[in-house]
Amino acid sequence: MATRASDDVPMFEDQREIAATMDGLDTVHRHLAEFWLRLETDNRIAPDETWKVLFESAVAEVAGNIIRHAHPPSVFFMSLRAFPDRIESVLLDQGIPYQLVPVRPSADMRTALTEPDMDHGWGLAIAHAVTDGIVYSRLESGHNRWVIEKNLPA
Amino acid sequence: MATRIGIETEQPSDGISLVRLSGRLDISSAAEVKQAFAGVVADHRNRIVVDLAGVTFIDSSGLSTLVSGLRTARQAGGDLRLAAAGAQPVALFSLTSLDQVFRLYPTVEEALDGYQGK
Repeated sequence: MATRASDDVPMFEDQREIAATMDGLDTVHRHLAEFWLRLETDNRIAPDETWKVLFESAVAEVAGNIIRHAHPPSVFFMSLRAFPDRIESVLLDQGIPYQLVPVRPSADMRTALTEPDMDHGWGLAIAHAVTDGIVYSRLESGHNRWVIEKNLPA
Repeated sequence: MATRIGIETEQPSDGISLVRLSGRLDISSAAEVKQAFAGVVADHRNRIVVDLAGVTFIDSSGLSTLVSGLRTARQAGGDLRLAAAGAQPVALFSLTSLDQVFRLYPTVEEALDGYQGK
């Protein structure tokens, strides 16, 4: 699904440079927690907890993929953007291009997760299932770019 | 590397292990938890209850770890049951249909009682 990733101007945006290590995952979660707080305080937007943890699940899966494929010391950039109708996260890393496996429907996840030789890649299936769009692109600059978006509740 | 998950194991009765997890069960902690499951099964305590009350977040690596623990326990003649999962883990169990693979209990006590035929 294409995102609107967008020429829109966000109401609020926060970008961080994050170490592509397991410690960096702590920063990802902290960044999200601080973003939700500012969103509520400054913009009066307060999605419910379930909405937030599902978005957080998608962002953490993508960040985990970046970290898994990184060659430290390296960093990636994570933006969180608030629009009137949605929240976006944009992640940029300088790793090798991803060879993405097709995302299977969630009905297949149980089978895959219970296979003895289960490989990685199911995180992205989860991320797709809990958001309204994820687009990966390889930029001419040599960056991988992930745009994750989830519509705010009406 | 900093510890991102707390793991405590107890033996409430013969052959039963209670594994209490706290923190994030994700790519950063999955290996540690998998090792804990392998340890209790090797100790012949292969009927496992995992207390998820303290788990604030779980990702696909964490789900895979729980499935791996279930498989290990069942291969040894036991089982692995989940108790007291919070909103985010429950949402992912449902999304992935793993709620049909695991026995999920609202409380640790009910999961333990399940093993003791109560």
